[in-house]
Order: sequence, then structure tokens, then C-alpha cells
Amino acid sequence: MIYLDNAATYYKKPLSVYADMAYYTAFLSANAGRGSHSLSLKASEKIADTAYEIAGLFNIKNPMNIAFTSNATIALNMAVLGIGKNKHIVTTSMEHNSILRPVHKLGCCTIVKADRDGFVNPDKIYSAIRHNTGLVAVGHISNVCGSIQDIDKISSICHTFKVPVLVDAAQSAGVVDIDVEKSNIDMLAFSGHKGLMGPLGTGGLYVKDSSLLEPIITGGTGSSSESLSQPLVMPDMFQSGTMNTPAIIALASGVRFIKKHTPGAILEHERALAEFLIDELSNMDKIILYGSRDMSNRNGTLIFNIENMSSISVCEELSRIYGIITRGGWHCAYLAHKTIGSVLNGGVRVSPGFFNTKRDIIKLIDAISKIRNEN
Amino acid sequence: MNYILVRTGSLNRAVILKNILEKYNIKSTSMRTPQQIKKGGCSYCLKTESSKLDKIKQVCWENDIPIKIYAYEGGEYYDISG
Repeated sequence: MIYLDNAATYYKKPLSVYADMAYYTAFLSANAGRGSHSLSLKASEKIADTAYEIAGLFNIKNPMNIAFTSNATIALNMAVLGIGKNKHIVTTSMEHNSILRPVHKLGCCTIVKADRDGFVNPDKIYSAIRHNTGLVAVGHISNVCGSIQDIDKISSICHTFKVPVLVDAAQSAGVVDIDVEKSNIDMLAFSGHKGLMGPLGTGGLYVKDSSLLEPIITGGTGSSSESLSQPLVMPDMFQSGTMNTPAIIALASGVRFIKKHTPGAILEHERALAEFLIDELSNMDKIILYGSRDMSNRNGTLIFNIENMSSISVCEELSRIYGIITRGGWHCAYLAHKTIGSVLNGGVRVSPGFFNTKRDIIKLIDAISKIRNEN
Repeated sequence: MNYILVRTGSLNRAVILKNILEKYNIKSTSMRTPQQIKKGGCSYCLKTESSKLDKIKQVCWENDIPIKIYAYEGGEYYDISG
């Protein structure tokens, strides 16, 4: 099998992640932060280690400002819904539904349209901010076409108006350098199981100033149990309920692997594979490519269609006949497809990862060529 | 014996702070907050030497960590968060 759906989740992980997951499932599936017995204490300490590793990766000064969640969607919901009603939110047409749906639920928003290559003009964010804007929520990298937004500039504009910025790093964490201090990011939502190469069921939310948000999920935190109100300190305010101790511990191994290899090197590898594929597909008849051809401001995720074939049929044939895993359809980002011109059919998304090789891409090209010729 | 307690609230917060302090060569141990200085319910704190007070305040200030610090002297706890 050739796995090229790393934008959905990294299928192959560093061996240390598997080892930690197995070891700590067997020997430390304790409830972190609950009680002062040795297992709880050890679990809490190991989770703190993960927070420390992630803080180092994103240059977060205080690891307490990281709350672990089960994925980026939960983190984004906490941030968007936590801002509360009666505030205007600015977001973009390139967002995943994990931003668009909670924003839509609150009801008062402006969706800034990106260009056909999937890039948001920061000046349009500037124009969209109103007197009552309470949040600007932007995806760092598109899960559809890999376009990288100019987060530094968007953040700078937001802070001119004293509006906090939420960055959806589901596709960028571990793949590009993220520095929350340098980029002045107020909130960063990340998934642990994609670019950070951790286990499924991991993610998190960094919040610089927790007074910006109300917790949307309340419950046991192992602290202030005398009070019926949710503690309003990080990370407790966003960590109600039992945490996924083994997975969060194993996530640290993924982060250490990334630090060792560096996000820059990982991005270069994924880009090189995508560039090779784009060059080959560009020379093939009946292939429609979307998004930017300039590799300098995108990652390795790319999208294409074969004329007169549904994207889902292409993916099914790639999987069934050739054992190649890609993803067709609309990728939970319908507006993004509308923006880049692929809304009628969705698209075949190819998202190479660090463990893919050029040989994988050559096999994919060969399979696409055969499918194209037979249909 | 005199010492200081850094009240953090949850055990999760206590171990994260313990981790941070270790990077600055400050050793501490996590423990349940004594009855006298907690509001009731679950609460945890870090116990460390009195001589580390200024350094702890500096580390917490540099890392944007709000804390409450208590000195234990003569069988009593005193809020010295400043």
C-alpha cells in the first residue's frame, strides 16, 4: 500500500510513537491530575513533558497555556464558541468546516474570499474588521490545495485593531515553523495526529490570554472541586474529563522526531514530491490541476481531477486496483473548493508525507495515467 | 523547618510548573495543598526551599505564570505572593 492521505492523518509514525503508545497503555493508563497517588502523579508529569515539548516547538513561553484536546476540531470549537455570541467574527473561504460551522453557529461573521490559488489577501481581512469584531480565525495551510497564508501580516493587521487572531494549524503544525511570539498569535489550534506524527485522538489549543474565552465544556478538572463553577485557569478550564494519557505521552515522541528532523526539512521533502507530481501531471492530457504552481508558498498537498470522472471514482480505483490511498470529494471544505474552482466534482487530493518517497509518486503517476486512458 | 509553598490549583498545573522550575535548577515536590491555605476541594502546590523565593517569582513572571506563594514559618502560613 502507498499512503498519500497525510492531510487527513499521518498513517506512518515514528517507531517511538508506537512504542510509547503500547508501553503507556499497558503501564500508565492512569487518570492524570486526579488524586495524588503515584500513577496519577506520573501520568501528570508525562503529560507535562508533552506540553513542554510542544511549547518548545511553537515557542510558547508558558506550557500551562496549552490544553490538550482529542483533535483540532474540538480545539477550534473551544476557541470560536468560547468567544461567545454578539461578537463579529472574520474568517476566510479557505477554511475547513471545523472553523466554518462553529462560526456559522454564532451567526455574525464575514467570510473573506481567497483568490483562485487559495490565498487570502490580508488587506481584505483589514477591510472586513468591524468595531464589534471579536475574532479573526484563519487556517494556516489549506487542507485542500496546500496554500500557506501570510499569518504574520494577518496577525499584525488584527492587532492594529486589538482583535485576537486564532490560527488553525491542523495542516501546518510540524510542517512549517510556527513561532507564536514572533507571529503574535493569540490562539493556536493543532492536531496531534497529523504533522506532529502523534497518535489519533490527540490535539490541543494554545491560548495566550485565557480571559478571552469562556469554556464551552465544563466538568471535573481535578482542581477547585469545592466550586460549581469551572476553574478559569489554563489548562484546567479546557481540560475537563479524563485525558487520553498514553496518546498524549506518545505525542511527545512525535514532536521530538520533528524537532530532530526540523519542520523546514519535512516541508522541503513534501514539497519536492509534490513538485515532481505537479510537473508530471501538467504534461498529461485530461488532467485538471488546481492551486498555485509556485511551490514557495504552499506545502505538499495538491488537488487534481481527471476530465469526465468523479473524483471519488478516481480515488476508489487508485485504492482498489493500485493500492494507493488518496482522498476524493470536498474534504469538509466546500467553500475552499468553490474558491479554487473545483466545486462541481470536488477533487482528488494527494498529500505526501515525510515517509513517502519519489518511488511512491512514480507509481501514482503511472496509475493515474492508466485510469485516465481507460476512462 | 521553614519552606515555601507555591499554590498552583490543579496537579496538572503543579507538574508543569515543577518541570519549568527544574530547567532553572529549582527542585520542588508536588503535594496536596494544606488545609489552612486552600479553599476546600482538590488543590495542589509545590514545596521548595525558602531561599528560592526570588528566583521562583522571576521565573513565573518571565513565563507569565500567575501563582500564589506562601511561606511556612513557626507553624503558620503567610501569603508572600507580593
